[in-house]
Amino acid sequence: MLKSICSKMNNMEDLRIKLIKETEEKLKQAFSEDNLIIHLSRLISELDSMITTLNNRFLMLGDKVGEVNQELLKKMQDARLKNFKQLEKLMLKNCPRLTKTAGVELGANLVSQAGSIKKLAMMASSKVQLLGAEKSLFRHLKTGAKAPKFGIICLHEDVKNAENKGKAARVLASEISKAVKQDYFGK
Amino acid sequence: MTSKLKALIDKGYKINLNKGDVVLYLGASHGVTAKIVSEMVGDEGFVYCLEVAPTVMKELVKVCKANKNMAPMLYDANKPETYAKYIDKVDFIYQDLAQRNQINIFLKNAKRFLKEKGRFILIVKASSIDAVKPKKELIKELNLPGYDYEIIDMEKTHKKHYAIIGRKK
Repeated sequence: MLKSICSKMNNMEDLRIKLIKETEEKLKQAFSEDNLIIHLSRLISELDSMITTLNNRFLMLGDKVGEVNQELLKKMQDARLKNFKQLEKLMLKNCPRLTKTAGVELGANLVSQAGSIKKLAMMASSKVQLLGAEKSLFRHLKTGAKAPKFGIICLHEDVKNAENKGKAARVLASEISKAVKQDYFGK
Repeated sequence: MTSKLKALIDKGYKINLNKGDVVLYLGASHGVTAKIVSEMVGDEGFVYCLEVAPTVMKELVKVCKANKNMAPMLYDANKPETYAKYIDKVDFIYQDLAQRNQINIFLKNAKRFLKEKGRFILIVKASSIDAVKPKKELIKELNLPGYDYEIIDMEKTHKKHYAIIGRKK
């Protein structure tokens, strides 16, 4: 009787240790570097919008901005710089070719829109071109309005300054999708 | 804001948790109430703590490492077939989810894991099932076939919450 109880207890202890190991591995996957990239890029964009609103308010105050406020603004700018450097390191480690073609911020933004680097690598280049323009794409499909030519990709300087933006966006999207595929599948 | 189980105990309701019970806890979150359950069960008992969200799971793993009769499980309570390999039969089910189909989730889990004459506690959040309907009508529609149970109003301590205490027939 006692023996059976002892063996049962041992089984439970083994099961507990096994379950703890399994959940820790799952947690590692959930907080992987892909997720870090996504959260860092969102944090940077949030910091940017906060800094601009604060800056506008301080301009209204004019000369009567105290030292406290100026220190606050400086601290926020420092924090943005540090976060940006960390993001750059991560991007260069995980997807160097993507960062070369698209830049740090746009690359991280694309990853966060797609969900992960794997999902971005599996996409066709036409889908990369229209990432972030889902609303106008579905409006086009439903009502027959004008088709969108580019999504989030228009933040890139080459697309911004181009004469024919649609053409430039198509070329850049194909380059980006090639680069991500090399990053993910090749070494 | 105190734990819902502790509020029930303070009011004087009989909870039927004995020493040595094996408990399935659905929706453990940070593990505050789960620790109370594990203390009530004692060293011979065991508590399976289920949770879906990985951000909350970090805290729960710490609690489970400190107590020798708790095990964390990162699974969705909607799909009992995914974690059925770890659990045999349980004496008690405690459920604290704020989901729309939480009664359905409980019925699935109880059919699979609960022993005959096993006990259970459900915490039902009326506003997450339907935000517009008055809660008294919601409670009238609620029925669990094959179970003996009573419904308790928890309005004083937790707003729009109900507790269901019962056992399998």
